[in-house]
Amino acid sequence: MAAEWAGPTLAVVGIYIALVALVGGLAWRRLKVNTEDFWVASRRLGFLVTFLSISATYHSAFAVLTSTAVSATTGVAWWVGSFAWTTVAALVVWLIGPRMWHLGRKHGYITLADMIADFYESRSLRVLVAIIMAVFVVPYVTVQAIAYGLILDIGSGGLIPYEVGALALSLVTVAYVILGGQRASSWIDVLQGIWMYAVVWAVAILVTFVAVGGPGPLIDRILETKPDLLTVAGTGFSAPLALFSLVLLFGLALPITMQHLQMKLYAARDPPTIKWSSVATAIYLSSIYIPAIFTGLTVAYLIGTGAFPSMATITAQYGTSDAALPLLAVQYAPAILVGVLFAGALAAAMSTQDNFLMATAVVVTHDIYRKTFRPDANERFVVNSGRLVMIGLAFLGWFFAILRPGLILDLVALSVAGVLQFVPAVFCIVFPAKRVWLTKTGIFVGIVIGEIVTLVTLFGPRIGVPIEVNPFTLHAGVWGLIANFVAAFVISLFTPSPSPETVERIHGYLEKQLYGGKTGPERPASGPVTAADGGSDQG
Amino acid sequence: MQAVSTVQRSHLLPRRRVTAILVAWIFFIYLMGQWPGWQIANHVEPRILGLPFIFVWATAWWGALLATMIIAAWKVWK
Repeated sequence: MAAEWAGPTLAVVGIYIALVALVGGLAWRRLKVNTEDFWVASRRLGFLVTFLSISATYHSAFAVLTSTAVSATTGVAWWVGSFAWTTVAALVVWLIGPRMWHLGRKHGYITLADMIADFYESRSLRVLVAIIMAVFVVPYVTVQAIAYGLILDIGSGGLIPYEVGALALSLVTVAYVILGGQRASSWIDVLQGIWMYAVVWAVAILVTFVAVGGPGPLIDRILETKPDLLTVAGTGFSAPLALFSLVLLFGLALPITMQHLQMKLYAARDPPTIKWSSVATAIYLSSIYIPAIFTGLTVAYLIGTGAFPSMATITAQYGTSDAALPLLAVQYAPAILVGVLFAGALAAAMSTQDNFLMATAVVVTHDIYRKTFRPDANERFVVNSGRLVMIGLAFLGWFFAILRPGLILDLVALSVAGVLQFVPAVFCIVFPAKRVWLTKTGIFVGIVIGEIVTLVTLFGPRIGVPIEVNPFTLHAGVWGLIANFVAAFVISLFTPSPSPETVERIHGYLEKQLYGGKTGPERPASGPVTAADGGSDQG
Repeated sequence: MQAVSTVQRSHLLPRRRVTAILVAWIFFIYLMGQWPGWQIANHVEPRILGLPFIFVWATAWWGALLATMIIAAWKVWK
């Protein structure tokens, strides 16, 4: 017999998917089949779309599901830590976003590899960055497919098996993004961003009051039973170096080196749009974690009373403790709100999945195929090839999801650790200095060493390497970054820098745009770069 | 070998006094709201609005950061 919440849940999820299809259809009607429009929406997205798109894309299923599971074991430390990396992410968008926007518009960049390859004058660096980007995206895509499966499985009371739900919603996501590209993804992000934010708060307030009587009584009872959850332990997740790692991973690397978010910076209409989006993003990204504290503490309290299954039981049954919030909702919220919650969690997952599919497709078709092998490739062919890549990647994510690889947080951290290694290359481009300290050889070797150190530090113990995972609580990706930076710096001392012409074309342009006034006409928003624009032929 | 560019001063260094002050203030906020600042507020009592003191402490610094960002976007870094 189906659970009582299954009918309303599936009805609300159906309405949500219909809305997504409607918005996707509207975006499809506006689409021009060329790479500039398909990948970066002709660089014309305004404040509301940019803000909610960055926010919804940044927060995946991780924000809705994992945050409750983690705060059930870490308590208020989750809030203390998460406000750091979410606000740092917004500040990084503010600081670096307009710089990337200026360079993207001037030189026609669509991807991160475009910018890196242009500045360091290296085709091999483009391929390296593109391959790493494509590989490390897979865990993130997998995470969203896991969320799809879990949500539909629990939400339908077992009527829709995990594997079927994961596949069906992966296909829904890929459908609207291959039809409408960046515009569809960003417009739907607006719907998803509003939905997930509202529902996370609504469910937390309701569940806390229904299950325990409100935040005050909840804190009273936690104080009696698990007082450690009301302070910051300073060990494990909340150890200073562990939190510092998360700030580097999710605050620094995620917004500027993950292709899916970085493309949003190119797609914005102008720098003030990015600036105000950053301010609004800081509020959104952080405050969505506040309700997670209360749902997490509610879970912790109920586990103590025996009224809720333990985390070990949940993990044994569903393959991950991320199922805690859906289970809490079905136990204490009215059926219709359970449906709204599940649709909200789907919104969080879809709003990230769609952008990752697009980002990977652009990396494969634009960076690897077009820029490396076929510069004269037809625009329509490149866009259609990208659509095929998205379908393939969606299936790949689903395949790994049915293997149930574990806690979403670990997978997300692995993904971001991989792209964290691009930070030195990006900083050297977007923060001009009197000297260019890093060279293409230095950057190339640094990235390779950084990735090796990251993987060895993370997986070494499993293959017998005598090293602990994340030594001294510093994440493997950060150890990789340290090794990366040292190697890049030392090798750059002995290898040739980018040519003075390129340095002037990029650093000189940024200097004049940011501090010295305009120097020439901007190229048209959706037109090709021409010699008259003073643009490069790298775009 | 490092190329020398025509950039007169690193973009990582503030060029205006108000920028330097804002950057220092934002660092201070993180030092207080995060490690090591949270160590001086890492207790449940006194509870404010029924919430643990450390929770309110972190939220207050978060609010200060948001206010700083809004003022900076509106009045300083136009």
